[in-house]
Amino acid sequence: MSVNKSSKSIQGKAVIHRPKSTFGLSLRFLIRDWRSGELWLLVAALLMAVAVSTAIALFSERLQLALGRQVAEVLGADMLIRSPRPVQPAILAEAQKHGLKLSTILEFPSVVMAGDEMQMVSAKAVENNYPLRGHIRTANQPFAPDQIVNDTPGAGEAWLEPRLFPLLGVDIGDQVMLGNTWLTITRAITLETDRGGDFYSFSPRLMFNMEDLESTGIIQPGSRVSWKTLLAGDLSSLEIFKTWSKERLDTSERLMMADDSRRDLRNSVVRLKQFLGLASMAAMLLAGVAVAMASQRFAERRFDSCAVMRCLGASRQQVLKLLLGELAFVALLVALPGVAIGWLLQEGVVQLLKGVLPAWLPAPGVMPMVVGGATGVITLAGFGLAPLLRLQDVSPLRVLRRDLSPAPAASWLVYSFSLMAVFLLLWYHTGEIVMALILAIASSAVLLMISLGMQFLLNHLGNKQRLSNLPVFWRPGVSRIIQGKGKTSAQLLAFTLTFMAMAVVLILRTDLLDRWQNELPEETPNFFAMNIQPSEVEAYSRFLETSNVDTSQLYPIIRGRLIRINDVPVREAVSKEEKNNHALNRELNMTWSETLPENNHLEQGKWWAPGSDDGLSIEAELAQKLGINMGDRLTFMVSGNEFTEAVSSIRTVQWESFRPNFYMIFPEQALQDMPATWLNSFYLDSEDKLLLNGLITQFPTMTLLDLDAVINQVQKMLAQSTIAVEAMLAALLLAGLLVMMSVIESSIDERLREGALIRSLGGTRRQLLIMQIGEFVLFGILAGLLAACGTELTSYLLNTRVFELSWQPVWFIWVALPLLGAIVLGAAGWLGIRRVISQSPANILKEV
Amino acid sequence: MNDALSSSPNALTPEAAAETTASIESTSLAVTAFGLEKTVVARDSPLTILSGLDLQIKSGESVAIVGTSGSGKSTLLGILAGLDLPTSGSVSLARKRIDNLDEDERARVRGEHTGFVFQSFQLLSNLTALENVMLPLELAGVDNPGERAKNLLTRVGLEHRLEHYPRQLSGGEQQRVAIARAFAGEPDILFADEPTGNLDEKTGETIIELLFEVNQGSGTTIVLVTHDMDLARRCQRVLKLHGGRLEEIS
Repeated sequence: MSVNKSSKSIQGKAVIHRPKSTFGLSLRFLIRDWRSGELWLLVAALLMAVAVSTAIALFSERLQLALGRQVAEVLGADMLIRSPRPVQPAILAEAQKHGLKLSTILEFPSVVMAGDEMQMVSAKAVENNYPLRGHIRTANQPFAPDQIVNDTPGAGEAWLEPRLFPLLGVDIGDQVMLGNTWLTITRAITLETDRGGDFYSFSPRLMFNMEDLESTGIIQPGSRVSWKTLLAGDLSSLEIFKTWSKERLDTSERLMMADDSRRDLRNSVVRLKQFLGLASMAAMLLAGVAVAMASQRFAERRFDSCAVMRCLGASRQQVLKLLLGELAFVALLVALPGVAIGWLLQEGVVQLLKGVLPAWLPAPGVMPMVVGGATGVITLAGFGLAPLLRLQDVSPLRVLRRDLSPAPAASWLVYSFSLMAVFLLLWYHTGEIVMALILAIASSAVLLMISLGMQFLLNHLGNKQRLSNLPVFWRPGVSRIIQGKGKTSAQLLAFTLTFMAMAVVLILRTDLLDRWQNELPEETPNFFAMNIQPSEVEAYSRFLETSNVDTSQLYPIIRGRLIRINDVPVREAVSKEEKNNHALNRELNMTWSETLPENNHLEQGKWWAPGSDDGLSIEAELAQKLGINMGDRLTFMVSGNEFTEAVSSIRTVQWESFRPNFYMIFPEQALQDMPATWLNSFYLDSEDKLLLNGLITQFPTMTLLDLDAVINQVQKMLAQSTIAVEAMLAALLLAGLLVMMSVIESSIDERLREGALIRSLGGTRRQLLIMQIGEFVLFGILAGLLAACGTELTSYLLNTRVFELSWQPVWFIWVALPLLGAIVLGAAGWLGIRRVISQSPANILKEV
Repeated sequence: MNDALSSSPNALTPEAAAETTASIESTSLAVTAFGLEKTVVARDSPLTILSGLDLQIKSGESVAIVGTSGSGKSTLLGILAGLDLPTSGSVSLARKRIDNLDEDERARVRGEHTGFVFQSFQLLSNLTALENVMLPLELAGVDNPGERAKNLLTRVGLEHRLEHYPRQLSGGEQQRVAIARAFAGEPDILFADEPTGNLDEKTGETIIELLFEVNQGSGTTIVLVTHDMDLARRCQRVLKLHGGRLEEIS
């Protein structure tokens, strides 16, 4: 025997004590705890945190990139520079240096001739690699079935829009003259995905090769042309180039991102991104709660071992280092499999939804995985550290007096650590600071309600006399709730946040889907008719009416410039940042209307009475940007004439509606004498499109714009977004269930001991079930009610501050959440307590 | 033997006790306490548990402290072992005064000089028998802790239970593991708190046999708290705690 010493003296010892690195010991503790099953709950919670956040981060990134690419298709590029002259060579050289692909387009209005016919066209010269994003569709004959093509018109060729064929009286193979050169018509062009913006000024398209530009002889100094330099490449290079070029582009060169091109697409994508952000946040919150509960249980089960270690000579610091070392190992070891599970999860979702997700999904990047892995460490540090720090305060005297538990960690410490972690995680994950703040505020509000509620309970039931009036089988539960005030609050908070996170996401999903559905209902107008001459308005209306076509209101279009605000030239009147606002540098499309157009909403002021001749209604966002308020006097220039009107109302416009929308609307009397053309939108289903031939023939000067491609794109994206939203929700529900499990597991020891004691004292199964399930049901109802409060607050703030959706209370959740709480927690309580019933009380008492 | 024990409550002021402690540090005393007072607040009124208690225990001696339930035996043991602090008075352990040390310094003294056996065994449920015995050696940074721990478990007759968890062992077996753990660090002083309190009579006897057998020849000082007079008589001295003071009964 090693302790066998011939003589023992205090001076001489065979065992030499020397400080040793705790690294190895932490690792051994980890292995032992893992083997004995002590770690599984914490590991499961952390795995969930890492896996869910990785999956959501990966999925969001891939989907956002894919949607971004779809939006880019509408621009034909990831980014473009629009300018009246070719872009400065230095800028192009810099773009090439960053590996960006380039393609130049030139657009200009011109007259094209075929035989005796002449027609104004919007000519477009393209390079062979056009477009960099998206595609062109062409047909071999006008109005014949079309297909995607990967080429562009060759030298000497021209592609014409179908409606140009009858206007010019030409067919495929005929020649048209553009400037000084003859081009052979080889195809009918049916779709350019980048033909999105500025469609009010569209004439029919003629596309030809850039090589023929010089021979047309059209482009001379001073010609009214628009150069577009398309750029495409990876996101980081684009960002670097964007920052670099910001200072170097001159005032006539305008950089546009895909997001800038179409407000309708952009709004949908922004909202989708925000929703994905919200789902990630809710998942983070749940993961954090699960880790906090698991850490608390881990810490509580360590009280005895810490006391023994302290008794055996371990210092406070040594105990702390050992535990922190063990946890650091846990975090590191969990990170990798967590990320792998997360990757598999998102890949699984992508595979499952292959048919409905965008065809092109970029490969997952490394960053979401790093973020996912880091989430484990941050959640463990933020949510788990406070309960674990208690362990250093375990008194060694606990080996003699088991009732000596360390003082609970100060609530402010626990909650401020956790809130900070939540906030940082949410912000880090989504970059949405307002949303992160809203969730943090709502969580704090729930915490406050719980604290006040607990105080109320303590004041009204804390009295022993009142407690003893309760039925015997309710007493332990109520007593536990009251005595373990801090712990009860933590569990209640965990359940409440779980229900709240799920309810908020579910409600917002419904609101968003409704909103999207409302924005693009069936029969959304898919054609815009423009350049309708005043003399044709009546015949045009009659034509549509007799053809049973559903149309929007007809609006006159008067083009004019805003030149002064309150008699100050407009460039001096606006802020420095807005000097280059697009609205100030071009002619605005203005209209008059005696009624407020559909999909418009008055924010300030009143709509004019019919017959009134003064006043003006301005779109709210533009008014805000230009600093225009009610009563401000705006001066416009139309066809060389100036006129001034005071702002009498400010209105919001639903840009996503695919109906004619205007920045400025006037009373009829104010504009009726100005030169105008007319515009409206209407819906035609694919079978009725032959009507177009009739329209084009009867009104040859009218311009028709087919929006089907854009609408299809938006509808496709919305369908995909809906699927994405639902996948997120499923991941969130899974996370929520895991949280519930960890909360119940964290309190199960105490319940098992209590149950076993009651059984050994003669309590029946039924009594025990009533007692345990009753407590859980009570908890579930309370958590449900609190979650309903939290959900209303959060969804109100999110709807009004982030998603720009209307808000109204959802009465349903006030019944559904408490009911769900009672059922889910009651069932969970039953599952948890089954062991007490199925095993002998002696075994349980021995184990716990 | 009487010279090693004084139970006069007012014999020394704390200052004088400190001087006395210093003067006896050169002698071979394992535990000394002078003028120990312990008062706790229970239900808003102070309760005196120890009142001017003096005690001296020589190296290698075995001493039993007996007393009725609630007489303060465990409180005294906690203070002597440096797990708790007296309200006043001084305590020295292995020639070091410990009542003026902070908790971490006392932990170091405990780690270097003491071993413990508890009524409730206090084995760590997530460690096997072998790992429980290895624990103090690992905390102290001893080489080959596994080998030493195996030897000790063999000595207490548990060589076939090395990989068992506490819940898989009987009460007697758990206490054997606790004894092996207590001797693992080759302590100068072993403190035992009701070591047979949770065991039946026969097992209790076996455990006590084992405790003394393992100690045989090691020269470890044993301080044992019990209410079992048969067990107490196995020790060289038996002291009774009554009214907050000690009196020698054999």
